[in-house]
Amino acid sequence: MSVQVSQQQVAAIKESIRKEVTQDYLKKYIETPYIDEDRILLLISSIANQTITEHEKEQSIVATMLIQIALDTHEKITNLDEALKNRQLTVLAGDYFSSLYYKLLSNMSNVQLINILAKAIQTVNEYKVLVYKMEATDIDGFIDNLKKTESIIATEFIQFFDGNSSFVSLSEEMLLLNRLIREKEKAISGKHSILFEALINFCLPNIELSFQKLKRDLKIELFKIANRYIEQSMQCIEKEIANLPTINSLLNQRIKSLIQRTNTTSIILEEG
Amino acid sequence: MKLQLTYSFLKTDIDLIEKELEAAIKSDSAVIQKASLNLLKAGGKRIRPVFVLLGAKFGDYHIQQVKNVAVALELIHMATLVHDDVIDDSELRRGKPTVKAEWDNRIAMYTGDYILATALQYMTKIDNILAHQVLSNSLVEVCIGEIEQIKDKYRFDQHLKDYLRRIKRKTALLIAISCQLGAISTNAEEKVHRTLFRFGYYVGMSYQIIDDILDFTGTEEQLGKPAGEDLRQGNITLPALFAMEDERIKKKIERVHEHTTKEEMSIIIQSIIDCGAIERSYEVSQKYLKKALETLDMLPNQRIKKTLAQLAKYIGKRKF
Repeated sequence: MSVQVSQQQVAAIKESIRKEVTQDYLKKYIETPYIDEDRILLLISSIANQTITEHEKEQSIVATMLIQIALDTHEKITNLDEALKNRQLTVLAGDYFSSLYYKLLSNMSNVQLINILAKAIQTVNEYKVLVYKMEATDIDGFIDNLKKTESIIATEFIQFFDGNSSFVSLSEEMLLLNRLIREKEKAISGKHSILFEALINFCLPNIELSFQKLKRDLKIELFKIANRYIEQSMQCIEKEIANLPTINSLLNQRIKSLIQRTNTTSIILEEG
Repeated sequence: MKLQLTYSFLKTDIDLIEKELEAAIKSDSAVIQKASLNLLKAGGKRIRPVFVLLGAKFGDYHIQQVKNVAVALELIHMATLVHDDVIDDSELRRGKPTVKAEWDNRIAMYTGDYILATALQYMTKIDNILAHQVLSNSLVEVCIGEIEQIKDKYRFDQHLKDYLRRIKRKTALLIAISCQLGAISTNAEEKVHRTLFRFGYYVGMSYQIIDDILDFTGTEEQLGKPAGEDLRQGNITLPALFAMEDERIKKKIERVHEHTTKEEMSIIIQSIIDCGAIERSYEVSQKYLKKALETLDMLPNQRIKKTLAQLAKYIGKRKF
């Protein structure tokens, strides 16, 4: 499939999602949900050779993306004393997006996919608790849990339609890599990062400071560990691509630009 | 008569559902499981499962099939409560610490999402697409209703129809579809399940109006929260709407905000009680109850109709 066709498909699905999540009142109070194009592309690639109609493909992807958006919306709820109305509407927006996924799949009579995705939501929330409470034996375990929170919804969808194990692994790693880069970018820009909090917790257990308050040499030490996981993830991606008979050209392009992004964040770090 | 006595013939099935609810919330996450179990053990009237079972009696009743709908509806109700406590910043529910109070907001969000997904898993055991369409449409409506409720907070110029539309989405819909989904899951005739929806809708409206009355007339002990708390949080319910027809009371009510003290609230509550707004609200509730009972005339199965009527009357007359 050409890059242009894939781009058009991603744009069309993004627009359908945007229409679904646009609710006049919510728009006034909460941020427009972020729609992850890479995730859409992974889902499109996994479903490309299926014999269902284009409409069914699109609706299945939109429904799955709505779940991810619902979960991401609820992830914005904190324990801080934020504006009450904002918090209230963030909770309700997540619930609303979640109900829309069920409605879409019910209208398609796809009870089996509802079941698969409901199970995935259960599992992802179990992993979210592990990540949030930092319940893991070591940092490897934490990274693995983080990978699950990022990828379970997408990989369950992919397995439902495709089942190619290399593509499932590729998707897991790509979504993890994306998250690791975002966490690193957060840390660089002085924002709170759960990854760097976990790195302190597991790798510097005697230190009780937040990442931003660490001395420069310790910060660099932690960045090196984070980079190792990023490097590992990139290697896995390359290995899985080699295992695939073909790969969507746009997806290939996206992966390259993601890898490019990891280089950029490294340069920023080295330059201080 | 005690509520449970009206449907004592369902006891075995209700006990089965209670066990199934406990099994349903088992999780690999100890935190999610404990949070869900605390909520489950805190009790609740289990009105929705009872309505599901009664609705199901109008079709080809098999408890092993119907229980999935009953469990799903109760879990949806539970998930809503966990998230509502984050929305309302509530520390107590049924006299027990809420999930958000015992853990925190984030854990409450994960728990609520987990429970809702579990509910949908149970529903997928029902291979009837109409059941899914009815439930999913209603869930969307319920969410819109909750969003509308936030929008309408402290909006003192709202009308009766705003209130009625809000409580339809907030409460009546889930009771209506409990009755209807029970019937759909046992393949009852379309006319029957649609009639059951209407019955449930009228009962739900009556139920919520009574709830809104009790917010002003109940004691803190009975309510598990201070009297007038809904109004203090900006929810303009029927008694307040009626009371605001009197300009002097309207001025007092319009001054209510989230930091209004208990003493100030008790003066306003007394004004609402004294002006007859409670009696008028009660009359509206009774009108819905009457409509619910009239709807039953259109249904077969005398025994279940009688139980539904008793249940509706109980709800319409409850004191807390």
